[in-house]
Amino acid sequence: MVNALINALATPEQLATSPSQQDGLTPAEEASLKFAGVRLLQLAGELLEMPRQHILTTQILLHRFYLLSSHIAHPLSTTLPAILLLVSKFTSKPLSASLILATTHTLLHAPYPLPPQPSSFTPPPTPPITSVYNAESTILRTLNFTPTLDIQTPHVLALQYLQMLGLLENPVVAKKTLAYLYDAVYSPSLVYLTHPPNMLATAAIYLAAREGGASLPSGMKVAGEEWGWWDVFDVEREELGFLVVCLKGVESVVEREMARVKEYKGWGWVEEMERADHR
Amino acid sequence: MGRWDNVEEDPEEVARIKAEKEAKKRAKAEKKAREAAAALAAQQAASQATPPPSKRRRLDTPSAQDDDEEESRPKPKIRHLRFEGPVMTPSRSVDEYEPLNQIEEGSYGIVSRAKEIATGEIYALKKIKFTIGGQGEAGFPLTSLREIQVLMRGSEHRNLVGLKEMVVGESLDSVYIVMPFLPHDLKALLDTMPEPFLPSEIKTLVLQLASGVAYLHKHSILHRDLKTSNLLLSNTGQLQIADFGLARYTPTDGSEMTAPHMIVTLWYRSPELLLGDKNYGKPLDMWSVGCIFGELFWKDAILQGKTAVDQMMKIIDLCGPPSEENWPGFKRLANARALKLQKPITSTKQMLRPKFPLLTNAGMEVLAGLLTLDPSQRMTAEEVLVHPYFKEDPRPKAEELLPTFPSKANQERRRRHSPGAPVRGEEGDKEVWKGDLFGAVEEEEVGAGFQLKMGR
Ligand SMILES: Nc1ncnc2c1ncn2[C@@H]1O[C@H](COP(=O)(O)OP(=O)(O)O)[C@@H](O)[C@H]1O
Ligand SMILES: [Mg+2]
Repeated sequence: MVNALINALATPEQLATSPSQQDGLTPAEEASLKFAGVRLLQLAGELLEMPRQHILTTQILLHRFYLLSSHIAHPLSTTLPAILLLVSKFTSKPLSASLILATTHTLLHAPYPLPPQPSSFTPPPTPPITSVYNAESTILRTLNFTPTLDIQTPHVLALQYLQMLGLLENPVVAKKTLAYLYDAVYSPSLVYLTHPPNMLATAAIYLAAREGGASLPSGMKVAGEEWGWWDVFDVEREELGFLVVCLKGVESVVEREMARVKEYKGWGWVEEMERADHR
Repeated sequence: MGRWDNVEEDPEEVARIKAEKEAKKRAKAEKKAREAAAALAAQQAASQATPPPSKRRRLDTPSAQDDDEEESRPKPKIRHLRFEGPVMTPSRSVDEYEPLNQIEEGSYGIVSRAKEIATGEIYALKKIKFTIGGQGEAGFPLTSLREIQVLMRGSEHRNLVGLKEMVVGESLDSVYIVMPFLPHDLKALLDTMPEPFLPSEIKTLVLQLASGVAYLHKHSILHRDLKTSNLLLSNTGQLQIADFGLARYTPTDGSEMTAPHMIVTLWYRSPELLLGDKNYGKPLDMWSVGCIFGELFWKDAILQGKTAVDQMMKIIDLCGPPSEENWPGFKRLANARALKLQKPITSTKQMLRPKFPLLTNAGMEVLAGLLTLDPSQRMTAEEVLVHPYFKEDPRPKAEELLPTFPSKANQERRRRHSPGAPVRGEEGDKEVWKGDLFGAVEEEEVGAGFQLKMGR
C-alpha cells in the first residue's frame, strides 16, 4: 500500500516563485534561513533524542512548508517547534510541546559555540506555547494534512539497490551512501522536493561507490538496448549527473553557512532577518 | 432513489482501479529491476566503473525538459518509470461547500450534509473537535491526526469510507473532513426498519464488514470503535466502515497503547478490554463484529450493559463465564480478581443457541467464533470471509438487491440509542461518555413506510 517510490514533489511553478522572496527576502537570505532551519532541526532533534529518520522527516517538511509560505509571516521560532511536535506525535514517544519549544528557543538564542558554562547564558523570554499550536495547525492546512502520511525517505531503497549491486557488504560504501542522503537536505537545490527517492538513492550510491573505491557495473545490453546501471533504477544519465553535482555541492554550502554562524556567534540573526522591516 | 444516490460510487471505484493499476505497475517495475539486476551481476566480474555522468550544471529546475540540450547520441529507447506524486497544495476552504443539514443530532452534531458548489455533488462534512487542554493532548488532537491518517487510506478499500479532502475555515480550529455521503448508518436503519434483515441480507452485510476489517487488520490498523452507528450503507447495499476517531496503527515497537477502558463503546467492548488487558489487539475488533452480527438478527444491541462491570455480567449471561479451560490465563488480567465466577456448565455455542433461533449451525459457528471470550481463540476477519456459512443457502444476497429505504438521511434526524464512544484524548479511570446514555428521543417522522424490494 505504501509506495516507496512516490513522494509529493514541487511543481516547476512552485519552485520558480518563493513566498519569502515575494515578502522581500533576497535569495541569499532565504538560502541562509533554509540552512538555519534544517540545521536547527537536526540539532534540536538530536538533543530530543529523535531517531535520525524522524529528524529527516522534519527537515523535509520544513522544505515543503516554506515552498508554500513565507519566513516573514511564519518565522522559524514557531515553525521549528511545531514541525518537531507534529512529527513526534506519530512516533512511539511523543514529546512534550514545552520541552520542544524550550529546546528550539535555546538553540536559536544560545551563543555558538556554546560557552563552557551554558548556564551562564539567559535566553530572551520564550514565545507562548499557543504560538506553537497555531503554527502546527498552519503547517497542517498549508500542506493539506499530508504530514499525516509517511514521507518516503530513500534510505531503505538505497540499501536494496546496494544489495542488488553487490555493495551492501562494503561498509564504507553503505555508510557513505546513507550519509550523502542525510546531507542532501542541506542542498540549496531542494533535491528532496525535486527528485523522487529512487533518484536520490542512485546518486548517493554513485558518489559513495566512487569515493569508496568500489566498482560499479559498466554498461550492458538488455533486450538490444544499451543500459547503464542507473537505468535499472529508472534514473536517466542527465538526472544522475545533476544530482551528483547537487550532492557534491552540499559540503561547500555547509562550510559557507557555518562560517556565517561562527562569525555572528550563533543563530541570533535568524529572528532579525525574518522581521519584515529588517532593512 | 435520489439523484445523488450513486454519487459515492464512481470516484471511489475510479480510485480503487487506479490503486490497482499502480500496484501492477509497481510489481512490473520490481520485476524489471530484478531481471536487470541479474544481468548486472553476470557482467559484474568484468566490470569497471563507467565514466562519470555528464556534469553540466543546470541551474533551472532539473525536471525541466531537455529540449535544447539534446545530445548527439541516439535518444535512448529505455522507458523509465515515473510516478506522479501528490501535488503540494494548501487545503481548500469550507466555503467550497454549501451546508445543507446536520446529519447527526444528539451527541455532537458535528457531521453534516453539504453540496460541493462547483460540482453539485453531495458530501458529508465532519468537523474536527479540538479538545484543547485535555490531558496528554496538546495542539492538533492526536486522535484526529490518526483519524485523517487512516481515512487517507480509506479510499483503498470499497468497504471503508474514503476521504474526499480536508477543508478549513478562517479560524485555525475550523477543520473539516469531507467524505462521500452515504444515506444510512446501520444503527439508524435498524431502529427504524419494521422487520429485521433477512439471513441472506445479513450475510451480505457481515461479509462486507469482515472484508473491511480484514483490510484494516492486514495493514496493522485497529479500528477500536466498531458499532452499528459507525457502519454506513449506500442505497445500493454497499457497506462502509466509518469513524476512525479511535483507530490507530498497532505499534511495532512495543510502545504503550491507550488504556483498555478508554476504547470501544461499552456495548461492543470485548471481555479482555473489560478485564483490563493492556496487550489487546485485532481480536478486540472481532468481538465488536460479533456484537454487530448478533444485533443484525435482534435489531437491537445484544449486550447493553450500564457500567463496565454490568457489561461483563451481561456477557457472562449471554456467553457463559470464563474459566481456566476456555480462557487460559484470564485470571491474570487486572479486573479478573473482582469477578465472582461459577464454573461454565456448557459451551458458548450452546449458550447462544436458543437466543438466535434463525441461525443455522454454520452461522452459529461464526457467531460463537466471534463471541469467544479468549481473544487468542477468537475468529479472525480472514476466517470469517472463508467460512462455509457464507456458501450455504440462503446465499448472501447481491448488494443491489438489498432493500432500499427512503433516503430520509438528507433531512432525517438520527436517533441515538447507544452510549457514545469514550471521550477521546482523555485518560483516567472514570468512564466518560460523549453523550448522555439515552439522549432525548423525539418520536419522529420515520413511519413513512419502507419501499422494500419485492421477491426477497
Ligand atoms: N460519510 C457519511 N455519510 C453519511 N453519514 C455519515 C457519514 N459519516 C458519518 N455519518 C453519520 O454521522 C454519525 C457520526 O459520525 P462519526 O464519524 O461516527 O462521528 P462520531 O465520532 O461523532 O461518532 C454517524 O453515526 C453517521 O450517522
Ligand atoms: Mg461514531
